[in-house]
Amino acid sequence: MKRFLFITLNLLLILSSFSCNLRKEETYRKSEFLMDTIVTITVVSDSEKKAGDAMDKAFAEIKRLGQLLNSFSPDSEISAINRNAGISPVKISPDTYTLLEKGIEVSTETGGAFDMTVGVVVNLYDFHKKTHPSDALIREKLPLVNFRDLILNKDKRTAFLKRKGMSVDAGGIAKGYAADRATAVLKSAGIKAALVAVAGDIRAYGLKPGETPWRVGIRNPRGKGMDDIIATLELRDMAISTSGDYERFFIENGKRYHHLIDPKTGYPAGGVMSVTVVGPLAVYTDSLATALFISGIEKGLKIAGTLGYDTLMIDKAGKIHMTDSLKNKITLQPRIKTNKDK
Amino acid sequence: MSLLKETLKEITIYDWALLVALILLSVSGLFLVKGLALSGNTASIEVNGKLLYRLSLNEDRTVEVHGPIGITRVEVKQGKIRITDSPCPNKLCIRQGWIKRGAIICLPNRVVVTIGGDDTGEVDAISG
Repeated sequence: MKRFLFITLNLLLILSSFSCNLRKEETYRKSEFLMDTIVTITVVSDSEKKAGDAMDKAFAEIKRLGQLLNSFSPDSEISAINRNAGISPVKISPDTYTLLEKGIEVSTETGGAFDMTVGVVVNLYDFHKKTHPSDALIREKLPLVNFRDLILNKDKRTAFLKRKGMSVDAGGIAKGYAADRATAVLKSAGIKAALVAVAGDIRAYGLKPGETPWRVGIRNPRGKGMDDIIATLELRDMAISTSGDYERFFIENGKRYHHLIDPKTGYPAGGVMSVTVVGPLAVYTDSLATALFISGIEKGLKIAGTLGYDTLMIDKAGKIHMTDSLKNKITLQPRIKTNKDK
Repeated sequence: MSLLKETLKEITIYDWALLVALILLSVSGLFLVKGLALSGNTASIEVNGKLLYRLSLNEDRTVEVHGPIGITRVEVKQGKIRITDSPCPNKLCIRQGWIKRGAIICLPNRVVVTIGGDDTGEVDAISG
C-alpha cells in the first residue's frame, strides 16, 4: 500500500510541477506617447518589478532622444542646426551626430532617395488642409534639398547646413534609431527578450515564453485600420519598418498626395503603396523603407539586395514584390483589396 | 496473487479518500486555469499611458474617458468595441469602426483601446 501511495503522490507531484513553475517568465507590456507617436515596449521577465524598471529606463531613453531630435521643438539640437543654416556649424551630442552620420550614409547608398533635407519641400504640402504647392514654388525650393550640403565634422562633432533656408529633419530615421537605443537599454538592464515598437518601427530580440519567436504583422496599405494586416513575419533579433502612402495623405481629382516626397522632383513618389524593410538595425530599416519607396519597385529590390536587407514592396496595383530570402520567412494573408486611385 | 490485487486489498477508506481529494484538486486546477484563459476576452482603455478601464467584452456598455483635448466615447457591444465620439481633428479612430482584436489608437487625444492581452496566434506588433 505504501508503495502505491508513494507512486501516486510522486505522479501528482511531477504533474503539478509542470503546471506551476514558481518563477515563471511572462510578458509585460507598456505604452507611452513619445516622439509624437505611440511607443509600446514588451519585455519577457520572471519579475514584474525588473520588467517595469527596465521599461521605464527604455522609455526615458526614447524621451531623451525625442527631445534632441524633434525638428518641431525649438529646443532640439536639430532646430539649432536649422537656425544656423548658412551661418555657422553647431556643436551636437554624440547621439545626434551618430544619427545624422547614419542618415547621410543611407542617402549615399541609395543615391539620394533618402534625404534628411527634403523637409523644405515636404512642408509645402499641408495634409490636414489638403493643399499642395504650385509647380513654381516647388521649383523655387527644390535647390535647397541636398544631403551633400549637410556637413559633419567628426573631430569637432558639429553639423552645418551650407545654405540659408535649408533644413534637416530626422523624422525618417529617428524612430528607428530610438528603437535600437531602447533595445540596448533593455539588454543592459538584464532583459533577455523584448520588442520595442516606436509606431511601426520595431526591433525585437530573444524569444517569448515557450521559446516562440516574436510575430509582427505588416499593415495592409488599403486596409480599414491599423489592425488590418497583409502578412505576418517571425522576428528573431531583427528590426522591421514600413513606409506607406496611407500615413499622411489626401486625394485630389483622383490623385493621391502623400508625404513620401521624392527629393529629386519635389512631388510624391509614384508606383508604390507601401514598403517594408527587415534587417538587423531599426535605424536602417526605418530610413531604407523611405528610400526604397522613393526608388520604386525595381531599383528598390536591387538596393535592398545589395545592402543585405530584406524588403516587401506593394506596387500601385496591389501586387507584392519581395527579396528572395524573405519569401520563406513570411506568411501572406488573403489577397489585399486595392483602390483605383493613382 | 498479483501485486495489484494485493495492493487493492490493503487499501483503506482513507487511502481512497486521499486519492479522490488529490485527483479533485488537480482536476479543479485545470478548470481554474481554463477559466482564467477565457476571461482574456477583455478590452483595456488607456489614456496617456495610464490604464483607466478594463472592460469585459461580454457586457454591453459605453464609457467616456477624458484625454488632453477632450472626451472620447467608447462603446462595447456584443463582443466588439469602437470609438463613437472623439475630439480629434481627423476622426481616424472613429472611422476604424468596430474591432474584435488588436487596438484603436487616437494619437491626438492619447487614447489607446486594446483587446485581449498576449493571446497566442495574435501578432505582437504591427509595422505600418
